[in-house]
Amino acid sequence: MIGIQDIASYIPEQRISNYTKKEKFGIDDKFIEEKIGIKHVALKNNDSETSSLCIRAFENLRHNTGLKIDDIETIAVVTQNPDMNIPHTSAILHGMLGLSESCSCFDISLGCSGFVHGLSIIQSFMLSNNIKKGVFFTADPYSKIVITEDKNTSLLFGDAATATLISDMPLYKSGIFTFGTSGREYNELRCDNGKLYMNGRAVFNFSVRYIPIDIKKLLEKNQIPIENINRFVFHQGSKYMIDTIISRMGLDKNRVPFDICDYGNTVSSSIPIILEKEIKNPNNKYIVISGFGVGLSWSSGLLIRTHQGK
Amino acid sequence: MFDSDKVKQIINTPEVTINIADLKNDVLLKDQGVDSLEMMNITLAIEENLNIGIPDDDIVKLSTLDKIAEYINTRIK
Repeated sequence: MIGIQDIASYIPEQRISNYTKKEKFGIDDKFIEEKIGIKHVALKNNDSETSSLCIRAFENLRHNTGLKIDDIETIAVVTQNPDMNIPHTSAILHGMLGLSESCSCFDISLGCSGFVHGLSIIQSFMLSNNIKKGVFFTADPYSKIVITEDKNTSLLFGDAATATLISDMPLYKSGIFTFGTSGREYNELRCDNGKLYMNGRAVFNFSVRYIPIDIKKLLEKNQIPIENINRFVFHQGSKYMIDTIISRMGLDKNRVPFDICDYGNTVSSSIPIILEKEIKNPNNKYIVISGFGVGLSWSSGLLIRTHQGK
Repeated sequence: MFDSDKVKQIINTPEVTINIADLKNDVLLKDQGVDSLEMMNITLAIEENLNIGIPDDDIVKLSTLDKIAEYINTRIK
């Protein structure tokens, strides 16, 4: 059995306040606090690269788990803002960490659906190749591409990285995943010439229409009733989007964490940052995770606490 | 034929947080506290209820409840 043993995150200390943008964008406190739900976005240092954010998350993971460098047999990095086009950021990370030459490294080019989709990929890769320890990173610093004058995006996106230890001593194993793509809508969230563009309405409509249906499909595939789910960890796009999904699904708000008030939408890191805390609660026997966005694409999964995690 | 009262019925979904009953028909929605995010759920409610797609360029036409009724009547003719 392969699954999540532990998760660690790194969120840069620097913040930009959305309150300082009120006049520029014609918004008020209520819009900031109750609608988008983001007061500050985290910002990496100018001289920090995607790989260096990963290193900080890794250091936290190693501190928590005692993980030995020589034991790591594979790493994967979910990013669409790599250090450079070539080589893959995971190769750069390999060098920085001094990993074994037999260690496999690959990047996964996905955005907000990246953690869930990527979790399925790396777990399957490890299972088919009898790999016992791997580290799965997410790091997608949108500060590289956000236009500060764009109201649609500059109020939302923050920088962060996470490192997840995937091993044969899992705290959580995974059930069957669901995946999907609406490629005809690829244009609605894209980076052109180094500049991010997002059609907020299109991404909102896509999310609130597709995700409730996908969660229903996920639960049917895993033959588990919705009442048994302890937590629904959705990609943290904005408070209004999560509130709309909660309403459409008739969910208990207490089972749906929303926690990005002080750092923003961190793309593929948003789900693992929430999971870092939630997996430490032994009452969370079943956790649904669902990431959606760039592509437009989505992926949902079911995390099941193991006997090890009792 | 759609009028503003019928529009209010359609857009009065649980996801729309503003109090629809208090909205005046001929006053700009943005002047009555309906922000850009709220408009997303309002237009989504219209699209799903009437099974129509509203292009992004048409959103500007939906400035008051009366204008929304007028727009719907041109679409469902």
